[in-house]
Amino acid sequence: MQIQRFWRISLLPLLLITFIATLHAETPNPLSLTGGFSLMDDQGKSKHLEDYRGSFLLVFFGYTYCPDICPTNLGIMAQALNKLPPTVSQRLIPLFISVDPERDTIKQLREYIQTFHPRLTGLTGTSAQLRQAANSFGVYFARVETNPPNPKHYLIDHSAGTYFIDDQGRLLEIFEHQMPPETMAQRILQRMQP
Amino acid sequence: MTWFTRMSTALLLAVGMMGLSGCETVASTAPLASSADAKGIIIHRPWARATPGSGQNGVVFLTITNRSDLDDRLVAAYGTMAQTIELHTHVLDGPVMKMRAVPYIDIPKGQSVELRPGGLHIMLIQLQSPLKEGSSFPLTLELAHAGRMSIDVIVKGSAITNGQDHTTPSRDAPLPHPHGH
Repeated sequence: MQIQRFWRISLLPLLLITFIATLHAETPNPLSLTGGFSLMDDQGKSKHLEDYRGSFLLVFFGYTYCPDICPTNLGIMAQALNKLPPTVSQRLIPLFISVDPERDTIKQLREYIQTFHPRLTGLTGTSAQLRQAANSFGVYFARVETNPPNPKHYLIDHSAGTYFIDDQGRLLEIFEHQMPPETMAQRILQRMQP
Repeated sequence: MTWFTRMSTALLLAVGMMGLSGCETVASTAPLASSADAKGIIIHRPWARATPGSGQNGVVFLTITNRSDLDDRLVAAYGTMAQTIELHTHVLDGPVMKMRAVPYIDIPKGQSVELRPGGLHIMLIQLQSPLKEGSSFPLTLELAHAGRMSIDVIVKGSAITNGQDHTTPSRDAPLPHPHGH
């Protein structure tokens, strides 16, 4: 009983204060990338995470055969970009990483991303490169066979968040699937405006 | 299998309730896109997402209202625009989105069920040709009790995020200055 009272009276408020303080603290950030990536862009050029140093990034992992989740989130990304002042959006590069190298050719990837935003860049790579990139971001993806199985008609389960990276290559936030574009733009502004 | 069934049921219920509350709005904003049959089943606003690039897979959304005295269920969809047409749902498992085929979609009597982005949908696999914004195509729905219904599906923009607006990406008004936290 005494212990319970002690908890209630002294420790809980302390924990609450610590929690609120953590929310307001600028550092440390609990999120981080565990590595970079080595991929190919939609123009066929080799790209590494370090090549984007100096720019903020919005990164979404998906595949072009994805009929709903990827278009929805890329649409949100595009709308958020268009809501930002140009001085901010020009320092922000949107990336779409296809985790379906078997079906997504460079050409198909290029045609797909052009639909969403003129500044969107597509990236893909070998299975091993994509696995490494996904691991760096803590992204999950796995091929799912349809029933009955058809080698061309498989689906891919994948993380549906949008990864927001700062100009030093650090992960700032993961925007959840279907976040309203207004919210995404606000959250980007809060991080990117001095 | 049981967890999946439970999740699907919960999802169906939630979607059904949302469909009910939004039913009037849906009907009033899109007066031309409803079709009804004699058995009390009404299809509102059938639309498909334009497929970006050489898009191979498409997706159809719509709202089904059951004004009959019988519980019904959508059991299949047929059309010539794709090699295979399936009923699908999305399940968000932590941060991971999983798309899965479902054998049917329940449409309880007196209720509306909404097929919409991020949830239930009709999946068009291996399209004959990409779906172009502004075009339309016929689709036949099969319900367990009401039988078959033919509808015209309107193709909207690829980047639509919620089915309500934002036809194509365009420059919107900039945000007001951010409020600090």
